[in-house]
This record gives sequence, structure tokens and C-alpha cells, in this order.
Amino acid sequence: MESLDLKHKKALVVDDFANVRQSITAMLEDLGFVTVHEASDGDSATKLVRESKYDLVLCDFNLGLGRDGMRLLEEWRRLKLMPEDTIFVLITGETSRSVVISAIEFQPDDYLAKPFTLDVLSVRLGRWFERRKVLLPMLVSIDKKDWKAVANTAKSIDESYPRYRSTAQKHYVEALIRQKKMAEAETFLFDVLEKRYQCWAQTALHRIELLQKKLETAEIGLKAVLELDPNELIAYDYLVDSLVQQEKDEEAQTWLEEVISRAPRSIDRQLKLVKVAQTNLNFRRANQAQKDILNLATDTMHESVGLFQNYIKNLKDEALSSDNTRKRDIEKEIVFTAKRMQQSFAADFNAELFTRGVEIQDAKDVPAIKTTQDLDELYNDIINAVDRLIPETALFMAELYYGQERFNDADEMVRAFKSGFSDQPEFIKTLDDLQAEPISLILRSEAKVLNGQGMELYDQEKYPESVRFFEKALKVSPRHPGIVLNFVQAHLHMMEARGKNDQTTAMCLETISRLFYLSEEHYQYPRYKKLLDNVEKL
Amino acid sequence: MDVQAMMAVTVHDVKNSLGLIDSQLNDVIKRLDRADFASAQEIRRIQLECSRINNGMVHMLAFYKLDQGTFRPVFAEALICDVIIDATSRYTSMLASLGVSLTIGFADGDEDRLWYLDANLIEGLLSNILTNSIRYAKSHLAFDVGVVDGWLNIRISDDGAGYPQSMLELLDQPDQISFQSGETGLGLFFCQKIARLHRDKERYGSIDLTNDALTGGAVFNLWLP
Repeated sequence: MESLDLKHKKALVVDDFANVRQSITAMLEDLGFVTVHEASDGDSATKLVRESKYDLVLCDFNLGLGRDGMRLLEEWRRLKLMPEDTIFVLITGETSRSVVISAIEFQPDDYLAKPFTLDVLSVRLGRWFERRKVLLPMLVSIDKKDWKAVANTAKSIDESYPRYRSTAQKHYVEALIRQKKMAEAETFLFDVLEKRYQCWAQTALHRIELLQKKLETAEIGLKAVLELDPNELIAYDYLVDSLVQQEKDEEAQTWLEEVISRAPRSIDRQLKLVKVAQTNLNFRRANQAQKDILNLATDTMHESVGLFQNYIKNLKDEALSSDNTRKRDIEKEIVFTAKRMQQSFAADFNAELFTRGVEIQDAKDVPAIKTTQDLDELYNDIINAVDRLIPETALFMAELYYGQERFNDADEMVRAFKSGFSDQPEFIKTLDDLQAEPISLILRSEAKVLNGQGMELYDQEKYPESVRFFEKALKVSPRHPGIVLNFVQAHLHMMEARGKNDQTTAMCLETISRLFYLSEEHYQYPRYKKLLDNVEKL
Repeated sequence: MDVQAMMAVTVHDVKNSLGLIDSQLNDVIKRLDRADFASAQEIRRIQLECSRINNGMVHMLAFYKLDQGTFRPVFAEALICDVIIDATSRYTSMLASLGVSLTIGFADGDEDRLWYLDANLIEGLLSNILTNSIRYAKSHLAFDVGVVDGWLNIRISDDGAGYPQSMLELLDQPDQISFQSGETGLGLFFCQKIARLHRDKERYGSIDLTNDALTGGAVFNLWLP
């Protein structure tokens, strides 16, 4: 401790109990700190962190109402309110650590179990400041995403500081993977594992398999890891990824539920669960996850109008296929959630648009002319303010207009949104999917099955039989590029064998013309162009 | 809420109160240390009992979680020296004032020895054993770390009167916890569970108790694969 000059260092103590704060502050002062600030809750702590730079933050996990310590850490790191060289220590009850560990991305520098003594704090302080000094160059490189530098510093830490070997090795492998040096990473990991089995190293090997699209191998390996060590949370994430990529969505959902039951506080995993459950048409489970997300996000940086919108929208989807009892529960839940949204986001532009949209959707016994007027007005407000929309509002609006059979307006919106959100490729894909199939998820999945059956027959060159399935699929999903093009292509094959037929040609032309909305960037566009050419030649 | 969950919440509450008592006792000791050393010593004994109650509470919660299937060890490589210092540092001033010295020795001077374990659990285990050893040690406590046939051995020994026969036999019947003898062995039972959670292929961690052949003092051994 002699080497530690704490006189010029600044500390912040965050705890909702005044006597605990005072006791910790007194300890820090005993140990040499002169400047120790205190905060009793998330908001006041955040204010202090914005105003000055601290060398050390000691923050209790449980801060009463509002954000907990882990969420504060996440917020401060994500919004870069706290510099890389600030040491953040989370104070926890002795046995609650496993509850706390769920976010992988933002780990505190250390955990300190309550109650602790002056001597414990003294020992730890020395360790924290040493650790910070040793790891800082690596952390700065990570922040800059300079993976070459990360690999270099991690390697040298691994060689010279046994205390940080484990951390350094993990970052070294991460840096190699980021640089796509997979073979090098594998060799390193094999070397680690040869000395003794280590869960993280085995998991990292399977992650590499996953990245190399060896999906089944990764799946089997990750399951074996979890069998041995069911707490390796990140192994669940990779396993779920491998299952989703193999379209084993039911199984993916089971594993997601398992990891969430172990670490319920990760919003990212809950979001993934929503998506997977929806793919499985398990709307009820999806909505449970949405509700959990809303609760987890309350008073944190994650709370957004979009979360409320998604939840309400998905509740409405669930209601479509629910029995009357559940329907009534859903209606209550929607009213309750809408109220919560309005309380939290009273004057929010997106919340207001969304509410107007929902009112139009829910309107009963309203003269058609009134609905038309409302839709016209809303359309103008949307088109004139694309830059103020969040993706959730945009998507809801496009869905609303397709649902109201205002196809031209909806297509126009999608065009505007695609240029407005051009920096969000995933959202653009969602818009493309919606435009191709502006129908419910249940119908989408029905069409997918029919199309799949048609394709199987097509592959066996049973064209007339395949056409029957494509036709059925088109009835469910009339403007899906894949189905439209399959239908036309099968007909062209049939005409090749049986000779030209004007009626069929006209039908093909009509069907393919449904794809006029396809943009040149769409992956089916070249195929569309080619088939359109062929049909037109006839 | 079922009875078990209610007990778990109660235990949590008690633990929090103990934390507060402990910090208040620290304040009193600080005030007394110069003026009335004897009273300060007495309070330290009380604090030691608080630690024992706290350890008991931690075990209760851990048992509850084991039972619920929510007990989650996290294994990683850790510096053994750090784990031991974490387990002992909370007793530094207590040991000093009781006149008990503590040494940490590494075979072959291997202070940088890393091992694959749950540092938090092992720290709890060691500190649990330590709370008892402090009660019985006359003047010295020793931690000795070595690697024997691929096993990590942490040995805690004291210069007290050694374990009574009933304790030495306790681990042979781990499920026979006796509440009549006064030595329930609950702490040891829990230590054994923690040790066993550590495994490498077919090798499982374990603990054993003996009395030193020369000094007669108590010896606790932890073996980790």
C-alpha cells in the first residue's frame, strides 16, 4: 500500500443506506483517500459521474428502487460516462453473485462481498490499482477495437503476470478471432486445453466452429460443455446461435429458456427469445419475454417507446389466435401497457403516432370515410417525419397500411423507410420481409410449408404437382418473391414440355407483375429480371 | 411463498443485520482500542462469534440454493495466494489483537501458483475453517500450499489442542450430522460439498482432518484436482 498514493485519487461510494455509505467512506479515508463522494441512488450517482472523473467507484448492487448497480455500470460504460481507467467494484451479498452475473459485456473490475473489513478493503485496493495499471493498455485497445494491439498486449500480460493470465488469454483469443486468425486461435486453445480442461477455452473452440459454419459440430460440442458446466452462460448463446442457423428453432427456444432461468437479467437474451418464440408461433411465450423485458428496462437506459410498441403489437398478434379468456386478459394488458407508455413518454412523437395508429386499427363502427381521412392524415404526418421515427413505429405503420389494404401507401412508406434507415441493414431486411409478405406470422409459416412442399416436387421435376402447392401458397401469401418466382418458373417448365399457352402466359405475367416493388438490391432481383424477360419473350 | 423460501429471506435479513452489527462493533473497537483495550478484546470475541453466525447463514443459503438447483459455481484460473489472502485479510486485525500469528507458505516458493477453481467458494471454505481455527489456536496458524501428484493441497494447521475424536470421525459419515454432540459438523459438511464441486474428469476435490503427529494441533487439508 505504501506505493499507492491515494491522496490525489477520487472515489465515489454508491449505496442507498446512509450508514453503510458513511462506514465505507470512513474506511476509504482511513486508507488515505481525501476526496470521497457519496450517492444514494442511480440518478444522483450518474450526475456525479458526469461531472467528475473518479479513480474508484464502489457501488452496491441493490440500490432500492430504480436502477441497480449492474445497470449503472452498463449505462456508464455504454454511454462512455465513465473512462476506461476508472475502477468499478460491485458490492454484493455473499451469495447473490450468481444472480448478478448475467451480462457478459460489462463486467465490474471486481466484486466485494458484504460485510467487509478495513483490512479486506486495504488488500483489495492495492490489487485493483495494480490490475488497472497492468490491464489498462489492453482495455484501451479493446475500446478502440484495435485487435492487433489487443493481441500483443494480452500476450505480454499472459507471459509476465500470472495473476491476470486467465483474463489475458481470453482477450488474446478474442483478438485473434476478430482478426480472423482462426487457425492461430485454435492452436492456442488446444495448447491451453492440453494442460487441463478449462470451460472457457473449450467454449471458444466451439465458437470458432460456429463462425466457420460447422454448425452441427459446434452444437454437439457446446452441449457437452454445458453438460459439464451448466453455468457457462456464453456457451448457451453460441448453442442457440448454432440451432437457429440450423432452423432448429424449437430446440433453440428450450435452451434460451434454460439460460434465462439461470441468468434472468439479460435483456439481449430475452429479445432473442421473443424472436425465436415468434418463429415458433409461440406468441404467449414471446409476450411473456416482452413483459419481462419491459420490467427489466424500467428506469434504465433500455426503456424506450419501441419496447412498449412491440409488446402491444405482439399482444394483438397473440389475441388473434387466443381463446376468449386469454383474449380478455390480453385486452386488459394492452390497456395497462398503453397507460404505462403514456406515463413514461407523455409528449413523445413516436408514442403519439403509435397511439393514433392503434386507434385506427381498433376502431369499431366507424364510417369508412372517417377511417380513410384518419389514414390520409396519419400518412402525411409519417411521410413528412421519417427522420423522427424509430424503427418500431416505422414497422408498425407499414404493417397498419398493408393491413388496411392501402398497398400503394404502404409500399411508398417502405421505400421512404428504407432510405431513412439505410444504415440499419437488419431493419431493412425486416421491411423487405414485410413487403414480400404483409400477413401474419401464422400465415407466413403456412405459406412457407406449402412452398417447401412445392419445391420438393419441383426438384423431382414433378412440375404440375409442384404448381398446385405454389398456387396454394400464393393464396396465403400473394406477393412473396420466392413463391411467385417458383410458380412462374414451374409453369415455364411445363410450357417447355407441352408447348406455349396464351392463357398460362397471361397468368404468369400477372403473377410476376406483383413483384414490381422489388428493388435492385433485393437478392431475388436478378432471378426476377431473368424470368420476367423469359415470360415477356413468350 | 413456501416455508423454505421464507427461511431463505429471513436468513438474508439476519445476514444484513449481522453486517451492520459488525460495522458498528468496528466503530466501537476503534474508539475503545486506546482507552480500554480489554473491552476492545471482548468485543473482538463477539465479532468472531458474529462471523461464525454469518458463516452459518451463508451455508444455510447455499444449502437452500443447492436444494433448489440454483447453486452456481463459476470456475476459472485464480492465483491461490489471492484466494488465501482474501480469506484471511478480514481477520487481520482480529489475529493481531488476539496475538495469533499467521503464515502462508508455498512449497518451492511457488507464490504464483494458479489453479482452476471457484475462487469465491474456496475463499468461503477457507474462511470458514479459519473462523474455527482462530478460536482454538494458541499463538500460530499456518497455511501451506503445495502440489502433490497433480492435486492442489491447501493445509491449514494450528497449534491448539487438535480436533476431538468425534470431529475426526465426522467426515467418515458425512450424512450423519449429529445435533446432540454440539459439533454439528455442518460447516465441514458444506466444505466437503464445495470441494466435491471441483472436478477434473474423474477426480473430485475432497477434504480431510487430522491432528499433527508432532504438535498435536489441528490440521485441515483441502485437495483440489
